Amino acid sequence: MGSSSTCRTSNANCRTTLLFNESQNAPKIRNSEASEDEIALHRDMGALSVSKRLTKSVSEKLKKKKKKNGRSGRTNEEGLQLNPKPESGSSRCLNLYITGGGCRVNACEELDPNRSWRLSSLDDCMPHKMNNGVEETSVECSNIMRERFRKKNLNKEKAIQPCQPSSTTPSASLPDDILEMILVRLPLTSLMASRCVCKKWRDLTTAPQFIQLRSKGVHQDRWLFLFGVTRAGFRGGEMHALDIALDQWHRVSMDRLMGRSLFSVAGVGTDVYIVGGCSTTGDSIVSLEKGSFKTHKGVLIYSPLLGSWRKATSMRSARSRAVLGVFEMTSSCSIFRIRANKNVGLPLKSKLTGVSDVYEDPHRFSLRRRLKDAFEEDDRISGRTKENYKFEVEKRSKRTNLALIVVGGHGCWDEPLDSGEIYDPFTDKWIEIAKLPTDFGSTCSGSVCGGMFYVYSEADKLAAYDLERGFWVQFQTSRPPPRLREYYPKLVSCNNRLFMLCVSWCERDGILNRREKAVRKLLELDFSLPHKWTEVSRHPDAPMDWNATFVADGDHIYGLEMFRIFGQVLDFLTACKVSNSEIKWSRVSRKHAAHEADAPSCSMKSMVVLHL
Amino acid sequence: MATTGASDGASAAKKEGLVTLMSGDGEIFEVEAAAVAALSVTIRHAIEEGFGDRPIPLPIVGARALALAVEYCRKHHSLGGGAGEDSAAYDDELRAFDHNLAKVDRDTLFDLIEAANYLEIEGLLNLMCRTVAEMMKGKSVEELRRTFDVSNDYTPEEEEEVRREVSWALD
Repeated sequence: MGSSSTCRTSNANCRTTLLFNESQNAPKIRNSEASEDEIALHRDMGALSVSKRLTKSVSEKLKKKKKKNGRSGRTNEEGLQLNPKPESGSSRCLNLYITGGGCRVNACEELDPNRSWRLSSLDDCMPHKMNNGVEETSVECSNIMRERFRKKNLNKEKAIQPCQPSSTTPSASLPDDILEMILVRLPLTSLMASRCVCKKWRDLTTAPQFIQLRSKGVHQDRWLFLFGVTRAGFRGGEMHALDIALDQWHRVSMDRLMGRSLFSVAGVGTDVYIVGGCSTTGDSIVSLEKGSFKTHKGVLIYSPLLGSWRKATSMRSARSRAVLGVFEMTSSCSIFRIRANKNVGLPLKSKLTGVSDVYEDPHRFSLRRRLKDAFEEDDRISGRTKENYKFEVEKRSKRTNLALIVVGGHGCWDEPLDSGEIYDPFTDKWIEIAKLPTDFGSTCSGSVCGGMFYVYSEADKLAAYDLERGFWVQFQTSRPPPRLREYYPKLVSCNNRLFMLCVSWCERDGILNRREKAVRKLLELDFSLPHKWTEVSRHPDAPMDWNATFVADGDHIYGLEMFRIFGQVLDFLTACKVSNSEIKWSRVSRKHAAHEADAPSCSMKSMVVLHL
Repeated sequence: MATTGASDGASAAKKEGLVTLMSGDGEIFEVEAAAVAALSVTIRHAIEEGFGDRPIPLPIVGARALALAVEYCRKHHSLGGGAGEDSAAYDDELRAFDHNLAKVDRDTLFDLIEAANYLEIEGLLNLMCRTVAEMMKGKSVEELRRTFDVSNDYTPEEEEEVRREVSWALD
């Protein structure tokens, strides 16, 4: 067993393939009389390490077969049977034991009460009764042994199926893990096409590990999703997705939103979170001004990769137009730990509203720790067995834990909210955080930058929530940047720099000149004291949209303006590349997403950028 | 098979620094141990485990794929020292070699992928996977089925459902 550490995955792969081929042929073979070769072949299976799924499928077939044999009272010459012993040391995995007459499948997950009589009858029929003292050929047999087993298997297989040529169809011979490696490199459109090819391909490309592998990969393209564009009132609607690399717009049905509007969106990994929002009550379209609308707590998650929608736990408060931020929850993130320790006071004591029950649960954090440790344990084990196997597959091992922070917005009666909450997708739970500083005003934009969640208010106040330690810090800027009140300022963060886009009159010689045109300025916050906003760039377009949206992705800021022009509502998409040396704006797409969009789209749109 | 292989190995006068590989269809290859072991993890392990003086059986690797894989190892070992594509040693000559290697027909390509996976030659596996992915780009569902000889096992209803799921990205 000294060489067990050199156990290699590729060996497992090819063995898996062999077994898989065999399992497909198994029913055919077993319907005829069992041959000597076959018995030997099954014995050799003992040396194979197979995936749980495959073993399960094999054992299920065996079970069916056994049922037939057992009932007809025939001698089970194959000697294959399910071991009723529920577990041994390695209980949760399937072990194959070699015996004198065959092999024994220890499928502990498939205990069934009817099995005992079948087993006893079978045992009586067995040429020599099996016992537990059989030679156990574990996965850790030496490489040389495995080489021979594999060779024997191959020869046996050839001997048994002389009619089948060794070079069968490529699809049959390309193992799943190789297919996965190929599929993960496809651009999204090709990936979606491949999903239609056959069931196996769909299963491969929708498996969680595939999604995770892809989300870590370098084969992704940027996709921009545009929400809230409507054509006929609030009902229905579509989202528009732009494949930025190919400059191609796609339309995605949004029936699941049931006419919801004024929601906030954020991209978490490869998913889009649609948070809160309003919808009109009743069947008829009632104007929002009459107050006959409902504000939602609900959160919907759209996965473009899976083409599916799911619901997350609802927020604690109903919100529309809340300010969202996505951040990586690190192991040192002590939001939960601080809450667990009541002795640690919060810096903004006046803002404390009372400690929620979640904060009081001292086990929550330890649970999270335990789960995290479990993942790390997994990673460690897989790392050891792969050993030097530095293929891309290994990159999946690091699991990121993204979380969503939701602050402010408007409540059920359209009142501005000062509360906030954090959602952990891993546990599917919301946790309330401290309220915004007093007199902060209604929130209009937010962005995560360097472990802090910055929020800007309509009253030109800037505050930041410390995502590591869990408290608000208020930023006093020397003077708020001059801006036109009707245009909402937007915060974005790029390369650990915090920017704000706001519209003001063009300045000449430091004096505001209202006769000149208005310009959209890109301001950057100086983190050193005294904090102040300085202009770093100007948007090339005249500011026509009071609610232009901006999102940052990597070193790009994407901006969308949508307004009525030439009798129709059109969208204009720009991107700004931010580097240390320069900040450069360019047009992203000359194609328009939304022809025939109606006027409310302008005020309700929102967007995210995902790597798919 | 194993015994004859061993006696073959014993009788053959071993040249220094060579290792014998035996493809699945029984062809014997004598190759420079250093070049192959530098790129193939499987063969490195086999040599470490004392296979150096006996033919290393590679049951699932066909002769043609093995010849190409060995050629890849030789070239990359002599020119790039086995370094990856992002290193400076990956020069135009290696790029041209890889480019030509990827021009093989489909069946050879699939054999070569399996060989690279079995032999654990990372660079070759990446190259081949990329080639196949490149080949798949822009193909319709029917073309993909033809290319990979996959038969459609969806029922019409299932196919309609999966097409509805992905239609947004395809149109």
